[in-house]
Amino acid sequence: MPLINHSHSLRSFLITLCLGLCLTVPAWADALNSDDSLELLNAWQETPVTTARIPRPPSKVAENITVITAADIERLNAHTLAEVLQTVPGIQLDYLRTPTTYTFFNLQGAYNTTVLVLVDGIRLNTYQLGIAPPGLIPIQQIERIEILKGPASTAWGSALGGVINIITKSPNLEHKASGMVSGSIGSQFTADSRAELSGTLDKFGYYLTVGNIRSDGLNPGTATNLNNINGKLTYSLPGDGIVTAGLWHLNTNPGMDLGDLAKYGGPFGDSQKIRRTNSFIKLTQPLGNGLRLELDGYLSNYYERLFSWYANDNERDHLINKENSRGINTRLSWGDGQRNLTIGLDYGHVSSKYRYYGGGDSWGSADLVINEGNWDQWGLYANGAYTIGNLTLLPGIRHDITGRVGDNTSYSLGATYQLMPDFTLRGYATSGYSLTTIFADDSKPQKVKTIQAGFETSRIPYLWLKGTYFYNAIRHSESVGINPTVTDQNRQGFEVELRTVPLYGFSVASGYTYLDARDNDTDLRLPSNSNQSVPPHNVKLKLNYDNSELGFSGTLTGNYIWWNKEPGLWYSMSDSGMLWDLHLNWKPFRKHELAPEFFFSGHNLFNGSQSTGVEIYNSAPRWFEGGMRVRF
Amino acid sequence: MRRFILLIIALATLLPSLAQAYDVLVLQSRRDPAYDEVLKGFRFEQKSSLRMLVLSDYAEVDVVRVVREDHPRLILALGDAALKEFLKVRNTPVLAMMTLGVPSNSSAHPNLIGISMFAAPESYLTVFHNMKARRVGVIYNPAKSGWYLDQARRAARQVGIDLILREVSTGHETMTQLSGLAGKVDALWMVPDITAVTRESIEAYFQFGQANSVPVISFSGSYVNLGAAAALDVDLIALGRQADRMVSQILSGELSSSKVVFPDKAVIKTNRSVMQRLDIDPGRIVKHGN
Repeated sequence: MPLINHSHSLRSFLITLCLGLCLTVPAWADALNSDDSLELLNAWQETPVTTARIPRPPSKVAENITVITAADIERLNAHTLAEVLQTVPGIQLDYLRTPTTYTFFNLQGAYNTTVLVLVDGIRLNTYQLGIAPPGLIPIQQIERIEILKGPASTAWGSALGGVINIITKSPNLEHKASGMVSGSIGSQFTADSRAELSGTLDKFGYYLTVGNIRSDGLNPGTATNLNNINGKLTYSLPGDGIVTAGLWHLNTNPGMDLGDLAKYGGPFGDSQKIRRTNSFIKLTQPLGNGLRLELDGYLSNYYERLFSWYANDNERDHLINKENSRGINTRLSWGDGQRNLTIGLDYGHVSSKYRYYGGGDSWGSADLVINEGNWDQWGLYANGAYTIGNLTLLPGIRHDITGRVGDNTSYSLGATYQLMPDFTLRGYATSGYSLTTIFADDSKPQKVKTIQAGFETSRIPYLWLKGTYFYNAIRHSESVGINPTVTDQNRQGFEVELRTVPLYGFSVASGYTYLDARDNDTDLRLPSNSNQSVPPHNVKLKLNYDNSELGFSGTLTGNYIWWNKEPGLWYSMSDSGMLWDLHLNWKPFRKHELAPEFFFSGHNLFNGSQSTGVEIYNSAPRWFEGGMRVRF
Repeated sequence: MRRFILLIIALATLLPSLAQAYDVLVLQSRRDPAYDEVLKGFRFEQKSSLRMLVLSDYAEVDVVRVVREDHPRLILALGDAALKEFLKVRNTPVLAMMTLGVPSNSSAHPNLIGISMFAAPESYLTVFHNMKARRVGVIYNPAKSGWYLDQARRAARQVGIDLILREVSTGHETMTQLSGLAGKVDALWMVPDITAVTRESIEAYFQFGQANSVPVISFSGSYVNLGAAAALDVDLIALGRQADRMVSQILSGELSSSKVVFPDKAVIKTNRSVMQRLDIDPGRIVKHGN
C-alpha cells in the first residue's frame, strides 16, 4: 500500500489551505498598517521586469510573469535552477533526480524545447535539440529569474512557450570586498561547495564565484560532478554609462542519461560530458532626452558527448553535439515607465554539428554526421508602451530571418488597466514561433496564436491574488525526444496564484494550473508520455515561516501533478504524484559580522514519484542534506 | 517524519517567548528591503543586545506588555506602524526612524527621539543656490510639514532664496496649486509631505516641470527615474550607522532630550537628460550638493 494516496494528498492540501485562510484572515484585521512614509520614499514604485527587453513596472506588463529573487532562492537551499522552477506555478519538472542531472520541464503544457532560457541575454537552448536542461544550471550566481508564461516572440524571437530570463549577480556596490563561502553535504555524498567575492573600487566593480556540486547518485546511475565558474566585471563611464563583461564556464558529468537499459537491449552503460562557455561584453549608455543605448556582443561554446557501451566491449557509441554561436545585439530605447519604445536588432551566427561514431549496434559501425549547419540569423523588433491615464497599451512586432526555418513575423498587442491602485487587469494577443529540432521536419517552424487575460490584486485584505486565462492554438507542434510527433494542438486553461501576509511568522503561497490540451484534428484530449507532457492539474504550495528574532526561517513546499498518463505505454509512468520538501535556515549569531548560517533540507519527504519514466528516470527518493554559509 | 517536522515548527514558534534580557527592542513595521538596509548599518557597529519584532508578522502585539516584562533600555522603531505602537510607551526612550511621524509627536512624548528619513532643508537650498534658482516653489501641508518649512524659510533667507509657498490640506488641491505656480518659480521643490505628494499627484509635478521648463528637485532617488531633475537620496546604511551611534549615546546618558536630527549622509542623484534639456550643468550641483 503506498504511503501517500495522491488523490487524498491533493484533497488534504486544498482543505488545509482553505481552512488556514478562513481561520487566519479575521485574526489579521488589526495587524496591517500602511507605511505611508516608506511608500513616499519608494514613490509607490514596483521593481521593474525586463522580459520585454526594457525595464517596466509589472503593472505595465501584459503577460503573466513570475519573478524569483536571490532571497527566494536562498530560502530553498537550491543547487540548480531545476529545484527553483519546481516551485513556480505552471511549471512542472520531469526526471528530477540527483542535482545536476538532466531534467526536463513544461510550462503550462509548453514543452521545454519551446521555452527560451537566457542567462544574461545569451540563449542556452541548444540549436540541435532545443533543450536547456535546468538541472545543469547552477543557482549560486543567479540574482533574479523572470519567467514569462506564454509566447514572447515579439521580443525574443524563438520563444513559443515562454521565456526564462536569468540575470546573474552584479558587483556589490556597498563594499570594496565582500563575499560568501558555503558548503553542504547530504545523502549519497551529495555535496555543494561555493565561494563568491564581490565589490566595487571606485568605478570598477567585480563579482566572481566558483563552485562544485557532486554526488554519488541518489538514483542508480546518476553520479554527477559539476564545476562552475562565473565572473562579471563592470566599469562606470561618464554620463551614467556602464560597461559589463561576463564569463561563465561549466564543466559537468551529469550522470548516465539512459540508466539501466541493458534489460531492454539497450546500452550496458553510458556517461555524459558537457562543457559550456559563455562570454559577453555589454555597453549601456544613456544618451539624454530619455534615450538609452544598449549594445552587447557574445560568444557561446557548447560541447556534449554521450558515450555508451554494450555488453560486448567492442560495441561503443559516441554521440557528440558541438555548437558555437556568436552575435551582436543592439537596442535603442526611449521613454520612461509610462511611455516607452524599444527598437532592436539581433544578429547571430551559429555553427553546429551532431555526430555519431563508434562500433555500437544502435547506429552501426560508422562515423557519420547526423546533422550539421552554419547559418546567420537576424531579428528586427520594436516594442512599446503608451499610457493614457490608467490604461497602458503595449504593441510589439518582430521579424526574424531564422536561417533554418525561413522568415517569421510575430505581432502582439497587450494592455493593462489599473482599475484601482491595487487592482490591475491585463490581457494580450500575440503570434509566435519556435525553431524545430533536428529530429523533425525543419522546413517550417512551430507556430502559435495566443490570447491571455487576467488580473492581479491585493484588494482583498491580507491576500495577493493573480488569475490568468490562456488559449494557445499551436500548429506544427513538435514533441520532445528523438522520435518526435508533430501535431496541431489547442491548449487552454487557467492559472491562479495567491500569497498571504504573514501571521505569527507564517505565510502561504500557492498556485494552481489547469490545462486542457487537445489534438486539433481529433479534438481528443492529449495524454502525457515521456515525450509530451501536458498535465491537466498542477498545484504548488509553499508554507513559509520567518522568525527574525531567532534568525530562523523555514519553507515547506508541496508539488502535486496529475499527468493524465497515456494508456498502454511500454514503460512505467507516474499518473499523478505529490512531492514535499522542507528547507530550514538558521543564523544564530546575527549580530556578529562573520556569523555562520546553518541550513538543512529534507527532499521528497514521503518518497513520492512524479516521473514520466519511473524505471529509469524516477524522482530522487527521500534524501537529506545540511550545510553552512558564512558571509563577510 | 511528520513528528519531526511538527517538532521543528513547534520549537521555532515557541522559542521566541524564551528570549529575555536585552538592551534594545527593535520593532519593524513590516518586512521591506529599505528596513533591511538600515539594519545592515545598525548591526554593523552596535554592541548592545537586542530583540527584534516585525509587526506585520503578528496578529496583535502588546508592546506595552512586552516592554513591561522585558525592560529594554531603549526602543528602536522602524516605520510608521512601529512608531504608532511605541507611542503607547511613556518611560522608555524611543528612537524612531523611517517615519515622518516624529515631529508631530515629539512635543507630547518627551521620551521620543527621531532621525528624519529625508535630508535637511539646508542641503536642498545649497542645491537650489548652485542651480542659481532664486524663486523656489513648494507645496506642503502645514499640519504635516510646517516644522520642516519653518526651518527651510530661515535657511532660505540666509542664502537669498525666495520660497514661494502654497498650502494644501488634501491631495486634490496639489494640481490647482501647481498650476498657480506657473511662471512664478525657477525651480520646484518636492518636499516629503504625504498630503502634497501622492501616487496620483506625482505625475503632475513632472508635467509642471516639463511644461514650464523648471527643474523638480525631489527627496528620494525613486523620483529621478520618474522625471525629477535631481534628488537628495539618503544613504540607508549610513542612516543605520547613525542610529547605532545614537543608541550608544542614549544608553550612556549622553543624549536624552526630545529632538529630531537629520541624516548624516545624503547623495545627489541626477537625471541627466532632464538636466540637459533645462541646460543645467549636473557636475556643478553634484559637486556642491553632497
